[in-house]
Amino acid sequence: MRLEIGKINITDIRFAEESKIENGVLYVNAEDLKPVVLEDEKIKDVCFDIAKPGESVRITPVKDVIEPRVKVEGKGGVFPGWVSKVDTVGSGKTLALKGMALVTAGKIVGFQEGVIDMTGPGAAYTPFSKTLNLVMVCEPVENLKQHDYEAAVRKAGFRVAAKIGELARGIEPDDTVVYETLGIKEGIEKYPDLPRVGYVAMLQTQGLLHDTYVYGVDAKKIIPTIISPTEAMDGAIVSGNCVSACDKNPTYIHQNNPVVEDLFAQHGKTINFVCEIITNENVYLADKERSSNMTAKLCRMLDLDGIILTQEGFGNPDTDLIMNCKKIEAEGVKTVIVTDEYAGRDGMSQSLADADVAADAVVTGGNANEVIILPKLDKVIGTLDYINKIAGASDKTLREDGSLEVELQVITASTNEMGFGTLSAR
Amino acid sequence: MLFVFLARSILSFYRKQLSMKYFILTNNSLAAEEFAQTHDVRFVNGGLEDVFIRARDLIHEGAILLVHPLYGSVKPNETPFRSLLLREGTTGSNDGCIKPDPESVRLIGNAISTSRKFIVKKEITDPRLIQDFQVVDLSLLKSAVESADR
Repeated sequence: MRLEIGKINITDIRFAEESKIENGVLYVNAEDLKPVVLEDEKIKDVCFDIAKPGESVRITPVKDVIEPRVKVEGKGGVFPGWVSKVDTVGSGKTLALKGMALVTAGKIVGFQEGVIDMTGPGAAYTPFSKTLNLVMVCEPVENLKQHDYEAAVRKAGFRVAAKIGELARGIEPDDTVVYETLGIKEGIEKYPDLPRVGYVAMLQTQGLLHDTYVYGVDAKKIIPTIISPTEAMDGAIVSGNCVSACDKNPTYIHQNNPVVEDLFAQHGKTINFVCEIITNENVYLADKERSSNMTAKLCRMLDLDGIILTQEGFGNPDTDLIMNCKKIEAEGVKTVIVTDEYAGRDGMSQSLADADVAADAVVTGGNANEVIILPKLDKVIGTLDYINKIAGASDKTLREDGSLEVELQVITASTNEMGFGTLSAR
Repeated sequence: MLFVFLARSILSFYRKQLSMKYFILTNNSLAAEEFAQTHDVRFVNGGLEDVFIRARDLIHEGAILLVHPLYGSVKPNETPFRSLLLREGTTGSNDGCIKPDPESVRLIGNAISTSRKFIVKKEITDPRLIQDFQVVDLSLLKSAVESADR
């Protein structure tokens, strides 16, 4: 499959009379976007705000982060199964608005996490302090159940991102990158001497606020399967989770997966990047056995020499991670895992809830228990009402001077397990 | 008419048998209520760690854990609720001694030590927040029950 990503660099976002992109500036008329959100009767109201890098702004609680894109050539449209029909995406040409993000924020449950600071020490830990953020805060109708509200905000985010993405149609991109994977036989013939490498992405799939969707399907109900990594670039994988903000993969990171990016950079040079395998992280132990068996089988059937394995979340997924690693290694396929750590505030505790000798090549995204003081910022988009209730916080989190004492857990993507953050160790 | 009645009775008996293969151990009253009529529910009057400890004791008496005890990303020091699925003791050996399932022993042991790692415990009094925790715990439990019952 061959996908061209045309990058349109956004240098500023401004509210204006007319929604358009001109000379790299995204002009947004919020009144154009409101009906797109309110077409779902479960949402009573919505407000939009803009947060720019360096501003004294804190966005919390964050639900999802999405990069607006539009498909201009090839089959299907962005976010298949949600905004577009379920055509197989990942080929043709897609335009992406770079340097900006749509952030969905606001309370869904009282212990929801996700902090994005646009300045100060917290900004260094989240990749989304570097993007121009259009923030969308929804308000539900009275007495709406948590499940229904989560789904409503999730879907509204995709609709708004697609609407903004449409503004890019017809604009000449600043830069174009081509991603191409080959068929099995084609790849072996073209790169006979290169090691065959795959990428296994574990998707968070446990229940409310812990789910991921593939072409609109709840991924806890799939068995592991093969996709082209370019499919996720068109929004085939989307996030429905927002608990444990530090190590969940917002939709933006599925669209811009750094493992995929790096594997493509080496494709045809040092490796033959064969495909992506997606698997789940269910609660039920027999599901874990089945999925890890299937994943190992797929790696063997594809005659892979090595894989990169990424997980999502804490605790329960550590068991899937180790099961996958053990079984894939047992098939003779070299495995490198990417994870984060809950090593305690002093960093001295066991990092993962599970372990095995086969997991002898590990990349860390950082220690989520590390403590950080976030100073008071001038403006909050969303609410601080629940900040004491979230993981990595305590009753003492909100201090008298307005600063926050928290663990890195609360910061969106700070210890991301696809390596999208800046932390690691050697 | 008689045939339909008989078929329904057999189906209902079969369903009950299926769900009776395992039991739900929970301190979440919302979960206990949800499954009280259809499943074997054993309520633990206590906190999250009390559920883990009770599960550990049952595992040492032969029960087998069917779900990962650290499910969900809501941290053990944060949510007060936990619901586990276990299968009744079947791990006895010929000599009459109980041989606990090693994987269950390992998982529950790791869960207890992991939960103790999160030292800052939080007192929760807000009823809306308690309900949110219950709803999420129930949702995660339902995903396990769906798998167990299919």
